[in-house]
Amino acid sequence: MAIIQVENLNYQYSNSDTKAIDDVSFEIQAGDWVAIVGHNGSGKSTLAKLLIGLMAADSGKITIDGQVLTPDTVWQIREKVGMVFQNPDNQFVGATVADDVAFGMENRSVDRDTMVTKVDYALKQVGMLDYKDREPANLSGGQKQRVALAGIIAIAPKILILDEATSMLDPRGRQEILSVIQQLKEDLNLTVLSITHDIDEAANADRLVVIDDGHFVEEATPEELFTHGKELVDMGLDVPLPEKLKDALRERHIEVPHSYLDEGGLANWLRTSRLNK
Amino acid sequence: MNKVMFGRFIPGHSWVHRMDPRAKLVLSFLYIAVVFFANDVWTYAIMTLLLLLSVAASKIPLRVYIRGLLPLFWLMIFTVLIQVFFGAGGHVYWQWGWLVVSQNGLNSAGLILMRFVLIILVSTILTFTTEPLEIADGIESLLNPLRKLHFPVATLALMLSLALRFVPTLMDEAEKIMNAQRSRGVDFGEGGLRQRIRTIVPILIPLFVNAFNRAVDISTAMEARGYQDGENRTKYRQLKWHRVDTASLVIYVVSLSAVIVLRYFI
Amino acid sequence: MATDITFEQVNYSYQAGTPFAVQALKDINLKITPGSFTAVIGQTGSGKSTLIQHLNALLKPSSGTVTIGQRVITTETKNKHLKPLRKKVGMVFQFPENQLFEETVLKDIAFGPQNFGVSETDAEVLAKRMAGEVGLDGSLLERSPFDLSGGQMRRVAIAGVLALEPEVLVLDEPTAGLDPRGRLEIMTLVTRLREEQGLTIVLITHQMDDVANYADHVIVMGHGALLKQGSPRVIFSDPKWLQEHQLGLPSATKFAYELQQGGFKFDHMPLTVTDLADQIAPQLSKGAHPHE
Repeated sequence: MAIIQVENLNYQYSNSDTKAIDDVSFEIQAGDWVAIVGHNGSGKSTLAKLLIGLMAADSGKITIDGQVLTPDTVWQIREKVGMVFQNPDNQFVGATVADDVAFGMENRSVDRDTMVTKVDYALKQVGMLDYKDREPANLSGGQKQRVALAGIIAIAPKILILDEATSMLDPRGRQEILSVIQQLKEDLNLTVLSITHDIDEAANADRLVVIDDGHFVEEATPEELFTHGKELVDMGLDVPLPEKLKDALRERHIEVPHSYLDEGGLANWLRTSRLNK
Repeated sequence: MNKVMFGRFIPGHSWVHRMDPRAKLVLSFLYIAVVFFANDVWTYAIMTLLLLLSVAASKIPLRVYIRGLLPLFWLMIFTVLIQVFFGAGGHVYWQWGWLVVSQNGLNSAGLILMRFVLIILVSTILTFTTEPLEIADGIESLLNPLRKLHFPVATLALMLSLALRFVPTLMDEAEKIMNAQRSRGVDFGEGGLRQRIRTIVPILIPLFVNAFNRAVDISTAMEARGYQDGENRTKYRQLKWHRVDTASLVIYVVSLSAVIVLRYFI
Repeated sequence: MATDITFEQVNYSYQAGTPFAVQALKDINLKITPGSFTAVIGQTGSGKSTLIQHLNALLKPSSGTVTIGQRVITTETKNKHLKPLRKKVGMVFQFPENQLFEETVLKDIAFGPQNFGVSETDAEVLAKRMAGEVGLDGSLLERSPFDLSGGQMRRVAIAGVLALEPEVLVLDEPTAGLDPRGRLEIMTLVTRLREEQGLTIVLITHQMDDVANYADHVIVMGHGALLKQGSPRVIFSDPKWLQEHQLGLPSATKFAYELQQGGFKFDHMPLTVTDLADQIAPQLSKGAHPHE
């Protein structure tokens, strides 16, 4: 069942001559992890904001979990969606870690006893319980993003949208966030929509949707898309190492498999093709 | 930055630290109000004693409080001099043209200085022992009755708390921008007033632009997290009234009543 | 003419002399030679940022000496005479687009040189040249910098530092937050500046692939101390040590270690994909290269 349906969506910023989103349609099945990729300025973040009504589309139809997005349903739809943004500082609204986790529940008028239990539970899930009373100024970017995820766990949404949520983190922070998200997806049976440039984040997805200049370009599995090699850079992604190495080996007149292999797969293939001296 | 002690929070677990911010706010206001009734040695003695007792209960050394007074030293000298020279009446000790040092002048200068010091110290106890956020919580709670008049108390409190939350972030940012502009050859704190004003522009504009962009991001994030209006929300942070608060209240009310009684009935 | 930078027993404490003092740099000894490309790596909070602020005397050592060209800086050095150093050592901070403030792109790039006594006309000529250098379209020069895209704003900021015509260019994670194409463009620019203008480069980065591809000297920082320095080959030859310090390997090197387990032989651990391919191609069986 499609939990997110986007049909013929259009949006144009008032100070721009071209459409930021141009007749985009796609569907996301419940429980899937879909990554939206595209270079900077391709319209990805605009799309994310349209999905939960943070901006209103010029035309088109968005259906989330069976509900059509309208000014009347926007708050009900937001109840079902948790969103993590790019800048860790600009979404941390609470004065302390615990306050920030509680923020979303306060907005939903959850009673205090439930909040107290859920704050602790959510912080435990992301490994931040020991930091409960810390102020954001004393946290790293990765820790702030974990707190943002705890805030989402606390409201238990059906859909998680990540708007370049790892792009401002160092490699370690990025890795930590990705593993927390994977765990969450399993535990809460979430549908994940991630907007990203990160090849590891994209590789985690079941399917990739490529957007360019506001247009829907193609939809593919990571395996299918990653065989595009150098073109990936134009889609806002890095070329994965196995593809780079295959290219380099081809230049050295070695025939390599065409289909996408991840690092383990390529290592296996190389091992079997090794000369036994 | 770190030389300024006035208005700074010093973490601790003393009697005063543990008190409910509402109790601290109310008692501070009461104290300040009653200071103006004190008019002789006895009433001032009670007020001073009560203050010293509170300082002791805060477990923060008196010298730290004194250091907090220093930035206000010139203001105090100025106030005292005004009182000395312009408070007329009583025995005249010294005169030069229109400048007169009289008994009344000296008396009122002494009173004013005493009041000044007491009021600053009692507010310093509040800020030293209470996190800004707790003060915000306390204010919100005390303003609660105004909700009946449709005054947006919760919205105001959230604004206050957000502002406090972003003070360190913006300070950090200001420092980064200063370093960047210094690297582009800007000399801060040099040259005449005009030169100094000119060097402020490359800091203020980026700081303002960044703060504005940040505000847009924050409001988007708040809305995405379900924030609709400030008033119909539950609250995670709660204030709890403890026995220390009742005890402090009793001590203050008794002492402050004594001052009023001494002033008007004896 | 050539500016080299030498640190001798440099210590630095924030809020020195107060109970809040935090030692951010401990006994740092290093040398940055003219024309070199030095990468500074280390976890967040390892002292990298404090270190680079000593390179143009934004910070003065609490003890020890920093020598920049002919100038020796100690804790006693007066702030007044440090300004010429800022022209010699250009500093591109993290998210440098946050420092833009002028009405137009041109004026913003020309701001720096004018602080060093260059006339407005000359500064604007310089600014136009630097805008071209970083690949900004001429049509953008009269626009407000705040109307540009994030990537363009970053180029404006870099051009503003280049306009000082420094001999050493220090960049603190210049590619943070950019997409892969933007990252590649900035790194290509940095390499070109070094090759064409002989700039000395100091780069703070978390991207080990960039270290492998571009740097010839690596400084590893941890808890305020200099843990190790040497060529990338030396630094990346000890994966266990790197892991202990929570640092990664270049992706090609990491993959090579995996292949080593599978029986591949390497006379040195490859740092780049080219090097990796060069070394494994001869080890692959005939069936795998029918073109021969």
